[in-house]
Amino acid sequence: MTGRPAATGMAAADPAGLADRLARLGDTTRDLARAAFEDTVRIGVTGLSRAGKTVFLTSLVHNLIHGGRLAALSAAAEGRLIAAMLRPQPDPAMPRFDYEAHLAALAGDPPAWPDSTRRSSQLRLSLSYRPGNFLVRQFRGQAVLNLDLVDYPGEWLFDLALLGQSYADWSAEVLADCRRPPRARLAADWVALVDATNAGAAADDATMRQAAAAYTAYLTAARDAGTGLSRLGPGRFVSPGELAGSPMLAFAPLALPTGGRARRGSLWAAMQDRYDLYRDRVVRPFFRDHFARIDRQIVLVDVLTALNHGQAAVADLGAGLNRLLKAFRPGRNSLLSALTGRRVETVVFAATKADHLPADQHDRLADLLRRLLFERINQAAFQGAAVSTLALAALRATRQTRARLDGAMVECLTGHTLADGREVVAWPGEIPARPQDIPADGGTLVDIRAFRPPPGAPGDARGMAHLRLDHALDRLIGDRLA
Amino acid sequence: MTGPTPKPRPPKPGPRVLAPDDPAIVAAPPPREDAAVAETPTADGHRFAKGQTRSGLRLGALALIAAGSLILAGLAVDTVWTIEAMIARAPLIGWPMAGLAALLLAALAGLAAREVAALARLDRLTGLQATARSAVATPAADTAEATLAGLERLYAGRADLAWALGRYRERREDAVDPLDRLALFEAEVLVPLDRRAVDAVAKSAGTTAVFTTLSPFVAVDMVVTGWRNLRLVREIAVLYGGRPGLAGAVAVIRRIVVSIALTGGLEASDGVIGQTLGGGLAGRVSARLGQGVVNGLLTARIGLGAITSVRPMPFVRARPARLADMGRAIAERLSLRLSAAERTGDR
Repeated sequence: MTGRPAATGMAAADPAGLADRLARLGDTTRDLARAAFEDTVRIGVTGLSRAGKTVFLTSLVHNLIHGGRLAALSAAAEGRLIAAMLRPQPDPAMPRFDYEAHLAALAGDPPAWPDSTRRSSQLRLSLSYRPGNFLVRQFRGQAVLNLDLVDYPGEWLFDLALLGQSYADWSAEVLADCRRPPRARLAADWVALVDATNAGAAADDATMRQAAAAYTAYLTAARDAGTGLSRLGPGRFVSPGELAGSPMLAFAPLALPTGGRARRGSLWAAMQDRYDLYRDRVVRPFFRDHFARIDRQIVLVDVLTALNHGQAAVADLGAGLNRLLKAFRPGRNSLLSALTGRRVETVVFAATKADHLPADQHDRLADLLRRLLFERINQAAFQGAAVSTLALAALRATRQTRARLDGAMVECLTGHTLADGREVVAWPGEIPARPQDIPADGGTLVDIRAFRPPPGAPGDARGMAHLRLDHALDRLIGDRLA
Repeated sequence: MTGPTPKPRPPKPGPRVLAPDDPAIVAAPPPREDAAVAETPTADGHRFAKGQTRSGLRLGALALIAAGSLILAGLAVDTVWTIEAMIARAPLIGWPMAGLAALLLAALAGLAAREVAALARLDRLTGLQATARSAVATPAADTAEATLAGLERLYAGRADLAWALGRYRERREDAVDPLDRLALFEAEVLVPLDRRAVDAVAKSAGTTAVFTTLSPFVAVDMVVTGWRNLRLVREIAVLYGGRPGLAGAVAVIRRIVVSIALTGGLEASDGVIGQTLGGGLAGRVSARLGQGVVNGLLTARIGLGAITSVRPMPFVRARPARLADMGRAIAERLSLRLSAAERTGDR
């Protein structure tokens, strides 16, 4: 039962959940009506911050529009992909993914990686193609597939776990995490404050705001420390979006007695109220309006940066992702899905920034990711979803070179360093095949250099240079272009 | 992912950063094509070696060869004697005759040499196919590179492929996985060839169908169909770089017939529908028309068989043409020709 988020179990009981379901049913009906003319597939793109979501989406759109580097996408390879163009998205209430601005950043002089976005956005890309099936072609000589690309911060998925968690459970979990390394150091101030706070005391707004500020400070510090820590929630604390300053965000975990109950008017009760408010007003609408309607999902994971920081960071990344992915409902859709909620039919886990590693080690990288997420992959596959892992680079910033180092011939990378744009040839070392072989201080074995985007990146009329983006696309939408 | 039995190997050096002009950096060595080709096991685990498919001489063949040689020797002796006698009696006729005989000998020798060379080329193509097959079945960087180097060499001198090869070279760095590289070569170079080959097959099949339908004598159309098929196979082999001689074409046809016999059952799924539908329906209209369609389909089948047997690489991502695709081409050609014939009234 771990696969079904407790959220849906709970939703059956309360009236809000029933309303959600009805709303979803309405959506489905509308989708069905539209599907009679055009096919639509909703693709979720997520990942923890700095995993490369923005570049991935920018390159995906650029490559589909230009179409010259999609050899592994079967429809493109067979010459059936006619054209792709951006069209108005169906949900006007959601921010649009600012494709043009990100493209401009990559094309700048010097080229720069686009700023990370900390909110959810959407883009509709319509593909026009010739169906490959002889019979289908008789009815529709040229078909249209709308890709609704939904990009959302992976941190928000941590929030989905809140749907099934009480305030007391959540507090206990967060505190336990923060008393252990590697978080203990970063959270010391906040933990001291929690220990000094009496949960049973009368609620007062100043204390609550102080606690929330200290907790947020810890989360921000952990995110910016570059230690590769993930699992920093609630998501809106780190990336508040339009909620900045709202009292809904003025709560924090407390040290609570086990088995106790909140007394009316106590700090505990007030915090609990806000927690519930956050859960019902922020988390649930996101789940209902965006997340629950996703058909296909790609999860981007920056394994390489975590590798640079050693074993603890990789383990934390693995734990975080495994946690986060519990929010998915993988499986095959049926006619009944309109009632039970749609399932994610295809999940692709991608280790990003693969161009920062020589190609002969990409199998290892994908393998490492597979081992990190083994539990979730297994579960999703068991439930009937098509699951795969691969190593990709949405925008390729390096070329391969060979060098003889200490008598061994190795594949190196030529690229421009992120810091000063100098051209260097880097040998990042050989990444270990198993998570347990990663040394505690990553730098001695592997040193993944950061590179700048290649000069004139999007200038190519064939599309941005990438590694295996076409494979990812084929796995995500290849069957819908059949 | 590194293979079934990881060999212990020296540990790789630690990470470091070099300047672009560091002497440690080496240009990529050219892939060793011949070594890999010679040592590549075929898909079923056998090492590919020349002449391994040929079984020992059988008694019947021995008798045939002996008889043939006897007749040839008799002919040769007879010719020599005749010419000798002619030189003795009328040198003015004898010497030119001797010259003609020498010319004949030289021409025969030249033909034989060409056949041998053609067979050798076909053999090279077959060797390349074996490497390519194993590269596609178990993609590894070295076999893939060897295959690609071999393919590039095979098509290096072809003016009609210069553009395609240029495009391939320009895009080669796009792909880093062995299978992706092979697929890229396929998409850029082989798919255009496939298209031309399929066109040739469709044309030939259509012509055969029309000819069979219109020809007044069964014996004539049998001979013409056979000759057409042989020419089609040659044309396809030339297209893919095999350039077979007569013996080569016959060898390819033999391979195709065997493969059709073996895979006939499998292909029936898409073949039978076309054949019974096309042949049966056309057969209702006229027996000759039915026969024409069936003959056309047979030519199409041989042509498609030729494509699979001489294409230097198995189909990786491209979709091979099927018999069903050919049916329509044949029908179009037939209806075009028949309506034209009807208009001019020569039926």
